[in-house]
Amino acid sequence: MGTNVVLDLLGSFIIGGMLLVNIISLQGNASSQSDLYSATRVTQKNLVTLVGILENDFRKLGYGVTDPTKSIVKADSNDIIFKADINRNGIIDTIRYYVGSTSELKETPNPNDKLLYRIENKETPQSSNLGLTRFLLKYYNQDMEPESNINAIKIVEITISVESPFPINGQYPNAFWKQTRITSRNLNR
Amino acid sequence: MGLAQTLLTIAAISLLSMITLTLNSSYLTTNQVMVESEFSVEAVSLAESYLERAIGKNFDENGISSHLTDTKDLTKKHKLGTESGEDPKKMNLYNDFDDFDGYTAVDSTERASYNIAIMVVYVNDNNPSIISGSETWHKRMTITVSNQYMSTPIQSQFIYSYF
Repeated sequence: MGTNVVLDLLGSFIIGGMLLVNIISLQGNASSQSDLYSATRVTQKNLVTLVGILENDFRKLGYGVTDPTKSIVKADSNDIIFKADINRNGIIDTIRYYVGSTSELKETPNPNDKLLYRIENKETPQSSNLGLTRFLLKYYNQDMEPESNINAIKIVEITISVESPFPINGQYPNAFWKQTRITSRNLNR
Repeated sequence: MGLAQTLLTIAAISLLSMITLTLNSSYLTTNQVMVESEFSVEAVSLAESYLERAIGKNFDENGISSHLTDTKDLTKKHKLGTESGEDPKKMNLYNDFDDFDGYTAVDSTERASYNIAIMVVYVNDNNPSIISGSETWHKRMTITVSNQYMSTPIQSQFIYSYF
């Protein structure tokens, strides 16, 4: 074999090897990007689902309650009990939302996810794992100042963070929601 | 290496480069869409917060202490916005729906700052998408939320009626 042939072979091996490495790297990238997109999409869908459930209840907060100042029964940073005629049947319901502990979801790799529980009247607590990592409630009066007196609360601020239960490239894709809700549609009634 | 082989190699590398560039460009576009949708979700939550505050107010300044029966009694269309004694920057002093007209603010979340702009107009009784030339029983609020990471601002609309 002449020197030229050896050089040709070496050259093609090197170029072929580079192409192969590039292709493998591209495939790896495509795969991890696809995982990231899927996880992000699922996380955002989970957030929207969770927000839909919360909005349905919080929109009615105080609805049908004769004295709107008595709408909220308990107001903690991650635990709320309020009254509303949720089913619009003329009967005032008591709704409670509270967050479980992270130890309840040990089976998921995400160390921060937890369950959000909903209790309607005296029914069994309902929950599902939607990757909730934060459920923070803040309470304000009509002037948007922080309020600790339950009877004077007019506005509830809900902050939610949802993360993927599984890491993608060592990170958990997340989605965030912050919204204020008034405790009664008509503050002047 | 012969000329043909060299040309083939160059063609192969060019093809691979093109594929790589196309794929990277596609990743970039998808990432951009994903990030935008994340910010859009947040923007919607902020828009709804303002909407929620507004619909807790009275329909019109003139209807706070008395019941309105004629559109002539409503706040004139060119006078929508805050009244004297109300600071346009202090939303807690607003007492009616149209006080929000002209409101602008920068609202921040943990991720980003958003520019908020609110507009209130009277709309046509029969077609709420048309701005009315006179006072009507329907006011439409348009909340625009934007930030530097969103190519298109979010617009949320709500019609508040008096009946």
